[in-house]
Amino acid sequence: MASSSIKEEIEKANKKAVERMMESEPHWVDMGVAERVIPDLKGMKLLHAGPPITWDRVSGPLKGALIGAVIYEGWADTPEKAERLLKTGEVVFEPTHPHRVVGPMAGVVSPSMPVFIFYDPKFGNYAYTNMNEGLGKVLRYGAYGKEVIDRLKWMAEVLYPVLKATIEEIRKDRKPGLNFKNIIAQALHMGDECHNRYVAANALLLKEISPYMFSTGIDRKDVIAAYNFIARNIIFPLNMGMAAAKLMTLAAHGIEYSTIVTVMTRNGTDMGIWVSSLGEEWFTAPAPIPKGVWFPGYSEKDANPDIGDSSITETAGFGGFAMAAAPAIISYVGSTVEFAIENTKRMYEITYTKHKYFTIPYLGFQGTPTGVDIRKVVKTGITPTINTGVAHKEPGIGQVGAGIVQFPIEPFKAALRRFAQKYGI
Amino acid sequence: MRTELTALTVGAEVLRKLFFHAHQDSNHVVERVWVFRNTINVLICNHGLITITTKPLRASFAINIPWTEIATIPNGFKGVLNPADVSVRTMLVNESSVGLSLCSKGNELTIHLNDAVMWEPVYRSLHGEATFLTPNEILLVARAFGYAAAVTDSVPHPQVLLAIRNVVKKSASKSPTPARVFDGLLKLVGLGHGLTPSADDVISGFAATINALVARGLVEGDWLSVDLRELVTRTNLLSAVIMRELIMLNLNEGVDGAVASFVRGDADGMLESLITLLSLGHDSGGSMGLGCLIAACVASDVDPMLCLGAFVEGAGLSLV
Repeated sequence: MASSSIKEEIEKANKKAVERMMESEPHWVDMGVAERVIPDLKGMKLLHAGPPITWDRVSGPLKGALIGAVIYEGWADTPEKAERLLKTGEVVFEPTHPHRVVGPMAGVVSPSMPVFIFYDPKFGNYAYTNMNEGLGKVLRYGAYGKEVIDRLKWMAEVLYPVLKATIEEIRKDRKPGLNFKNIIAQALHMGDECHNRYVAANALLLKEISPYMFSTGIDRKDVIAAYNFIARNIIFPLNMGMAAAKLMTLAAHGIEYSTIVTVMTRNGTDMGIWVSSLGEEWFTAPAPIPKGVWFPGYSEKDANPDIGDSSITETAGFGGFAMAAAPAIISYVGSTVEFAIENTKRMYEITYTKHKYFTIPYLGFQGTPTGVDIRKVVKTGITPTINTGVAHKEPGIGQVGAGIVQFPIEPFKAALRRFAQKYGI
Repeated sequence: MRTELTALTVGAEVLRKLFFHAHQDSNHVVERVWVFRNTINVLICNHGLITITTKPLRASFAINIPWTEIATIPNGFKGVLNPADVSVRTMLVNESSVGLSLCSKGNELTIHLNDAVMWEPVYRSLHGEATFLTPNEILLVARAFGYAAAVTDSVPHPQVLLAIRNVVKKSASKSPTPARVFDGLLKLVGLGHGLTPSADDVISGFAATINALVARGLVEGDWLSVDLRELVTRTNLLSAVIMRELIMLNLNEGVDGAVASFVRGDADGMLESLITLLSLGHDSGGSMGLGCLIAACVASDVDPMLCLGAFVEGAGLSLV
């Protein structure tokens, strides 16, 4: 008597899924306007982070970001009118992931927003993400005041053309564009974990793109403004890292019998996951509230439950899973250096393998924990633990801190149940 | 090294035990302590068990704490539940100041219960008429659970499955009453590997499920019980005590949820609860869940051999 065939089948599928995840070659290849490049983003439609949600359950920061996006698009000129359009369904909102899009925090992408286009030549997939606005009062944290909308407009009018021209210059030099996996791998050796800390990655990005930026022929004043915006926003490469992670996990998605998680995301009300062999079915649970370090004047009682697609980084084997590579992250998200190291070690217990290309010097250049396996989560009771920014629970305010969050186990159990139902019967 | 943690949830039975023992001669409260990577099992006066665990599985006799490296506390250290910390003002844990300290030479673990959420089994609210799962639904759940157990390496050893098959077959050849199946299963106490031998877990799951149904008047029959002194001659003390806790209906949420879903006729819910058990030990969860399923069959007058067959088939095994 032997049950080896089931396990062998899963082992084979998981090996393939994680191998594809690690071998994916995400490149930044272009910039574009969302409605022209993202499949099915037409008309009065917005995309948001996390699993699907209805207006009556939308959290404060997501509500704020959706309102802001409606104003940005010119569909309404006041927050009240914007809210009415969202409430009545005249403006619809859908999750980012089915559109191959990722966005940090509220993750709202509207039709006329400029987006990065990422491409994986190895597996032929595309992914998209918006441009990072910086920290504090920004749309992705639910703020929608004049300064927020003005910044978004500046990004579309000045930053976007510069980056578009820059990537076109880069493509003339190297095909198919800028290899972002290399930047992540190198940044992990320089003290980043590439979720909440992108200090090294930002420097590497600027080092790579500056020569091309300054040879675009665009008005020098605009190029310098764009350069300064990126240089002063140390989290600028986050969205790009997320798009890269989306391509890695997309390569691992859709493999029959695989129990590897390919999406982990939150919308400020629920968190949800996808599993490679279970298509685009969402397995959800209430999103937890991060344990954080608070900006002056704020505390845990101001915090909204966890929000954002940025946990795609951990899904791909970096971010919070690579915290041992980034002891300095602790000054931003709290806890101790020992915790950072311990967290990485603990994540090995629920992942399929150690990453081939993302390694951690402090751990003797071991690969990062890669490929969350729902079987291991259910078996050990250990759930993915990540670091994250924290938004105020009320719309219109913005970021109030950063912290650590541990995902609930329920979605992983529900996914295993569905997996057993799909393949066991 | 001193470690202080705040409990996340605490089982109602834990409070009863702590409060009861607070009024005893508490200079020697702890009889024995087992320390594992995720769990500390504390045997207190009169063989009561309190489990302190980092696993998310809640139980009447458990205190769930955030993840920490419990293994840094040496196995077998002499622990003392600090009686001075057990001061009872109210049974509502979130209003009490109860503290639990485990002390040893050079190591001290203090667990604060004041912010914990209390957990109680829901089986206590099950009354009156029930819509049990249909026989076909039980078999579908058994097959899917067998599959889930196989993919998480939680299937009992084949030797144990064969022994269970023989016992169940024998009792099923007559009328498979709960008492008859239980008597048969009890012959297997101590069989299997692991800290809690697989057969012990099957028996726990079976008897806990039957007793929960009997206690609510949903199944006719006698209360199933065990004699701890007799059990410890055939299995290890920890396994015997855990078995007794479950049989006395100090349930964990996996068994509790499986019973409640079975009574509601909720097949999906029953499978989900059984999957919750899979975080137990090596194959303990798979074994305990199998015991629950056999009990569900016996309670529904379904041949338990069919259920065992569906589980085994789901696990990709053959008992031939």
